[in-house]
Amino acid sequence: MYQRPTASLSSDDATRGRNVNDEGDAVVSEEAIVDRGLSHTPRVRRGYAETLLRNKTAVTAPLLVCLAVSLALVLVLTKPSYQSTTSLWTDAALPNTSTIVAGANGTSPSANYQQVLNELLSTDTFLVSVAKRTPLAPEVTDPASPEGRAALAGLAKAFSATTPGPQILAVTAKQPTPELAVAVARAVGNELIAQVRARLVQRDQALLSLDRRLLADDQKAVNAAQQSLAAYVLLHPARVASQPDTATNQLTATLAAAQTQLASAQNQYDQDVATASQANDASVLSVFDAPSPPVATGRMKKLVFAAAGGLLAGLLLSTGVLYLLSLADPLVRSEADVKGLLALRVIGAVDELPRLSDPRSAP
Amino acid sequence: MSVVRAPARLLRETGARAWRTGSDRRDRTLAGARPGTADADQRGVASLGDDLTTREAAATTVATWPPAEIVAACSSALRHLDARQLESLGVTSTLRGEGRSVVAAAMAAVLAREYGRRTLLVELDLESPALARRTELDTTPGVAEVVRGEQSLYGCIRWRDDGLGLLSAGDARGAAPDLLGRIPASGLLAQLVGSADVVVADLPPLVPAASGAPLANRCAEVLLVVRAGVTPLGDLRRALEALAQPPTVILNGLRPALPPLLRAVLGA
Repeated sequence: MYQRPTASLSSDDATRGRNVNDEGDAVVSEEAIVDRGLSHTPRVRRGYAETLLRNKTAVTAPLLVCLAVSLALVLVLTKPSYQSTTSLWTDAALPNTSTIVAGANGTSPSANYQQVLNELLSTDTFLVSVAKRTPLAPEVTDPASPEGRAALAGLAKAFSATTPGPQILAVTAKQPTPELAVAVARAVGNELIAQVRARLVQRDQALLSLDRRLLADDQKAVNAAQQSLAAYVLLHPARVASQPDTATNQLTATLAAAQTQLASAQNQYDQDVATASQANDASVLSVFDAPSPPVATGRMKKLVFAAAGGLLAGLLLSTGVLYLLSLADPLVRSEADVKGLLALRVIGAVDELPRLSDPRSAP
Repeated sequence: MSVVRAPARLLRETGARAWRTGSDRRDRTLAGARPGTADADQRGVASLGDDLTTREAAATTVATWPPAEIVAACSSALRHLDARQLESLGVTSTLRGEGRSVVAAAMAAVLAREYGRRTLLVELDLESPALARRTELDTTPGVAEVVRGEQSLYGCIRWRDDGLGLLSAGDARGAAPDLLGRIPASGLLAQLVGSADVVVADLPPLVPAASGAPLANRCAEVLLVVRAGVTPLGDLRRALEALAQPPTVILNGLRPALPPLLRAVLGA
């Protein structure tokens, strides 16, 4: 029959119920020993830590495995990318004063062209034109095909434009190979300049055409006024010679106004011709820096995120493993464990036996 | 209020006694020899004892080990066993380092001093012997030499005046598993039982050593030292499966794997 353990000893006489008898011998109060009992309060945190230290490999393995897997996935699934940046010089077009001198009041030239570039990047025509300047040309032979659409969509995402200042527009292209990154950066810069200049030339031509039409109209008006005045003079030579009458004055004023309008139109035409000649002005928009040497990028950031994610997942998994281990292989911690779980009889206990060998050195 | 006398006085009276072999205990040995004891063994005891007495008498003073507290605990624990009728007590554990050897030594000391029984403490953990070293006795000759037939049993036992004898493990020469496997069939256990009133065997641990359980199963009583907070329940269950009879348990106190600083942090 099981009997309650009655021995529990320690050097702490006061707390262990030990006394010294008349002969100087240490004696132990049985009541004190029995009252003290053997059961230990479950120490959950300590138990987990014990389990962790005893199963270092099993607990840390998930952490390392998750970290390795996440990094491997990033390395395998994500392709390396390279980026190249080209810089464009921008300035206010003539006849405006250069923003280098006047400063950028309101929107700067670089911001204007950044907006233009972003607009153009949303169009297939611009992207196709860019692609045709690069080795990607075969992929956009048919922009309407799925392959062409995918290539254009990928190309549209490959750019980023920044404005380091009012004059400089930096365009960065990111591509899977160093050569392609440089080619695409160069292409987008050149295509932007070409598109802007082409639009400006078209605009100027349309303006000059309008100016010519207005000039012709004004010339007709002058001619008509002159003819009217001449006809009136022929019919009424005496009035015109002695004292001009009201009609003569009106015709003369009409002619003067027509001539003024013609002169104004001519002046506008001359100005527009002069402006049109500035459409290809390199001081307004030109390549400032050729595409920079390609730099590998993007992967390190992904690796850092993957490592963080892997560590977090591994930590969760390790915690689960630790919990399962603590459930699967609990330690005997109290008399209750021995009695309840193993149905064994406990006949005594000691607090801390001196160790002749280290249990952790045992096989 | 009833009290249990701690064995401090016993230790004081007997602790300084020397472990002896040979002629100093020859009469006792011869008088106590059981039927079947070989004359050759007795002669061996005498001759070997002459050699060992001088050498060991000065070197084997045991004054403070096992610690008094452990002896007191074992004294109390023995009151739950039939100590006066006990013939053999195997002390084992699940793993190493659970306090098995200390408990075995303390049990033997209590049986000899409190119960007046001639007690032989045998160290059968040949792989990692600790008793002889701890008691400052020579580790050889011992069980290993006896099993190999190099020494007689009685020549290897060191007896003290208080009736406590020690048979150390000896030098297994790296063949401890083989020697342990040969013990059950060697008749050594029967000889041990015949050489004293009660034999306390410091057995190998049950889980790491396959030889622990067969030896334990040959003991009349098995005492299992379980270290609270250290012994895994699974290992303990496996150990119990290897035993033919349920052992009684002495529960060792917490000896955590955590370093003190971490224990303090965790509030343990």
